[in-house]
Amino acid sequence: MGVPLANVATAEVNPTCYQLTGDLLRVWDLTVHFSQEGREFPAVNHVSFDIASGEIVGLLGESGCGKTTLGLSLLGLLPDAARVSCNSIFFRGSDLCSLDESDLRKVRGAEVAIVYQDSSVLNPVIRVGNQVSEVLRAHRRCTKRQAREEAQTIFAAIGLRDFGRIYNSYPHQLSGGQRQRIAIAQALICKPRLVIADEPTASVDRNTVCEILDFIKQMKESSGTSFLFISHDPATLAAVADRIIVMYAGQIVENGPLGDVYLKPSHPYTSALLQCTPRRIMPKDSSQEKIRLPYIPGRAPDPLVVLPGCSFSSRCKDRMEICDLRRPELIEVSSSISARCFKYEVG
Amino acid sequence: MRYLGHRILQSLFLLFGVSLLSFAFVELAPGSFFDEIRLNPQISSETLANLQMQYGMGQPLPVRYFRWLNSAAKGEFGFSFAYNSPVAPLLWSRARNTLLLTGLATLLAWLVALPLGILSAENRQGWIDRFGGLLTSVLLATPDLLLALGVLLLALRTHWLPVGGMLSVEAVGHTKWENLTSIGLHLLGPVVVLVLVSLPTLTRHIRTAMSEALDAPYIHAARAHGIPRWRIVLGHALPVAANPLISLFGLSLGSLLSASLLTEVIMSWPGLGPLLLEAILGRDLYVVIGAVMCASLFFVCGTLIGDLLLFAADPRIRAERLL
Amino acid sequence: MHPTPPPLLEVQGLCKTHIQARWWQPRFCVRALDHVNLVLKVGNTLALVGESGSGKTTLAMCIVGLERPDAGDIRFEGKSLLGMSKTERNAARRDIQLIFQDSAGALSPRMSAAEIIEEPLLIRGKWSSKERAERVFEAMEQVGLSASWKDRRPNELSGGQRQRVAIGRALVLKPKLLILDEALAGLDLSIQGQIANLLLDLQTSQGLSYLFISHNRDLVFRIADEVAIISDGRVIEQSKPSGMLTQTEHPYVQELRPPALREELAFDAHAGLRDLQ
Repeated sequence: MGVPLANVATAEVNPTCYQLTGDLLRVWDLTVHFSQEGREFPAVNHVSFDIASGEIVGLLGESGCGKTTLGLSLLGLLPDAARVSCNSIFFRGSDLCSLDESDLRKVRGAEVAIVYQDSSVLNPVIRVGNQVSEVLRAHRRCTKRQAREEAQTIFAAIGLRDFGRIYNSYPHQLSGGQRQRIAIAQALICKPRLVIADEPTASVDRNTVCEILDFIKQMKESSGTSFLFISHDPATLAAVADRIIVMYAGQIVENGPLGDVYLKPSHPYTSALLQCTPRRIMPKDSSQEKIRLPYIPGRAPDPLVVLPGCSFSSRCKDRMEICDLRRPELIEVSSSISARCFKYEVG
Repeated sequence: MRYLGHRILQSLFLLFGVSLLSFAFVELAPGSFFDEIRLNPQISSETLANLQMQYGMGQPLPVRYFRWLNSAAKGEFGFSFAYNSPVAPLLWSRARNTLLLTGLATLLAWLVALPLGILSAENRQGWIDRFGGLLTSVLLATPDLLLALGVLLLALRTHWLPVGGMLSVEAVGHTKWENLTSIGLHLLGPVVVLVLVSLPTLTRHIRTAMSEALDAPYIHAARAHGIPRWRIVLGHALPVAANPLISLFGLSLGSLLSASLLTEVIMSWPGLGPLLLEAILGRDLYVVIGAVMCASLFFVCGTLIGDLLLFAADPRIRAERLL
Repeated sequence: MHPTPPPLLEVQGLCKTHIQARWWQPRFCVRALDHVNLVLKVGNTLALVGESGSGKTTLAMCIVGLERPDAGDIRFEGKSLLGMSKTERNAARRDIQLIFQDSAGALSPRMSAAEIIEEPLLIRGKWSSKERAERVFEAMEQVGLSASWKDRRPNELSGGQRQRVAIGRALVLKPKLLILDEALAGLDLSIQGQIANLLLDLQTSQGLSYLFISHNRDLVFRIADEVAIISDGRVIEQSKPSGMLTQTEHPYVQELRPPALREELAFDAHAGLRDLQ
């Protein structure tokens, strides 16, 4: 049932890689090392995945699993202290891994954009409208007036009303939801093919969340923009994602279509995580007893300590003997799903 | 507008207070102008007493203070015993020279410190940063006196620069252009000293402000959007770093009249410094008070301009002030 | 027949208007609270649900005493908080503690965990240093922080651990009411579950009552005894969650009945949950 596939590009068997078919982005064997207390540890550990055009991929994981680091590493935006090593990051004909800073700069914002999580991503002393049109002018030759018109279009699309006032405002004059929308406008004004969105709906209220998610779906349908949507909340991803990639301790542990992953999770971590979503539990009825919420016992492993076995084994319900002896590889469970678990290893 | 009015009122109070204090302090200092004359056996005590009466020295302090205020209102700012003339024109001619020197020096210092600081912050631990750090450490550790003496010595030994005064002795017969070049050459020494003295503090402040600005999340975001590096440094980080730097600039402006005392005295530049020193040593009461008031006025105006610039430049300050 | 004890917290007709004045603009008034009524019984968890700008945080500030309401009354254990003398109010404030969402911002980065938990004791100033150390140790145990973490700074702790420190700091004065303003927002799901269970255990062992402010409806409907919905400064409804899910006809409440949002529909569909409610 589960067989490691040979990588198509090379003749040798590469057990960590499965067939990457996405036409927009193909990441093969990406590792990011950080150093702490003089020792190096991998925050992202031999990760491979792909994204197709017009596909929204949800990157699901808890804090510290490396999802943000992964997103940043694709565009070379990590601090100098990080050591990135990868085989290739194929994006529309070029290998992002091998590009130098000035070529990468042309890709950033124009072809691949990032929407940051932090709410203070806007410069406090520059007017918001200028911050948005500047992104356009950095990549394309156009006048200030043309840039302003483009900004107007995108402001309207993203639900920012009262264009005149907002364009000339400073960030501190706008609400949190408006600022988040401006950050998204900055990322989308050049109409990139891929947007890496790092928890874009974390710090905004519900109504704005709905509007932002609707907008993302609309961008995908109308312009064919792909998204790598990073989040720790499965419910948010359920609204937008086509495919889910689950990360734990720097590795991909499950990769498959949304419905399959949520309905029948293959990896024990995914199913444990989904159990923690409050929606899974019956809400309180009129009886007196209080509900205890589920959680995953234990803690995420210390990245500095290298264990011989699976990094989830200490918290896993389906733990077997082999889980503490060897590290599992990413295995194809079915034609579209893969999981990193010994349950699916044959032989 | 309300803010401006508030500040101006505050400044007036401040100047008033400074005048009171300086009057009091000079009075409290032992000795008077007439001590020298007293030592001269040829002048009788009656002449001395008459002189003192003439200058109003016998009267109590508050009366003398009010007479001074009166004179200030008339634009004279008291009377100098040594020069036998009203204080104001005396001050003005000297202050002009000082302003020429310090104005030029401040401009140059900022012109050098800004790029140095920005480049150091932008490329931390790079060679410019290390070199700049070394230079500023050395300059900080060297006392101003030593720097001035050093330049003086250099000028004396090498004869590259004229020493002392503003114009050379043969100035009288020369054309305007030759006079200007002569002034320029005389300026060079003191300006170099002043720039060397103020450079380290300025550079360090600029470096710190820029470093902090460059670490902010919005700078990382701007980089992620593909905005070119120099546009980020100058167009995004510098405006944010400008906040502490504008305050510093206000202080620079404010100390235009007061910072150069030591240098002027040593290099014999005919500015406010030597005049003030002479007046203090000779107990020329009103000149001292006049010079102190002049410097305070400048200081107050400089910081006020700095605050106003800050108000204009940082929208956040505008928002919180006006609420 | 014992008379029923008064509710722990009773808010009656509370009004608060924020005025924004700029000298070149006409006065701009925002009615943050408009005749708000709430009742919280001892040992219960009352959830206050609303969007941002609905007035939830203003209400929390008024109860804790950080803001003064324009009209109305807040009664704590039967006595009016607004009518108290200063000493009485100080004593009452000890019994009401507030925990914020952004723990990284609420904890001083220069103090260790133990120092942060100890700080309220120092401010109130009545305990010897030995007693303080004991209380801090006790508080850390209660929130599940091992003693080895006591010297860590906030930036060395994870989000969940920081919230535990914040809760420990609130507990050290042995309060009766804890106001949690979005305290579980932004945490990983597993950590959210752990902290929610911790709060539940504390409620049982210490007899605490909670005013739980949140915009996360899913969480709130599952852990609260009663839910109050606030919108534009008015409390539209306060009742048990099960009642709210089945009965009311108010359009706003209608919307609250899950699944109301497409994302929740999607999640339910994908996760195989069918018409649970």
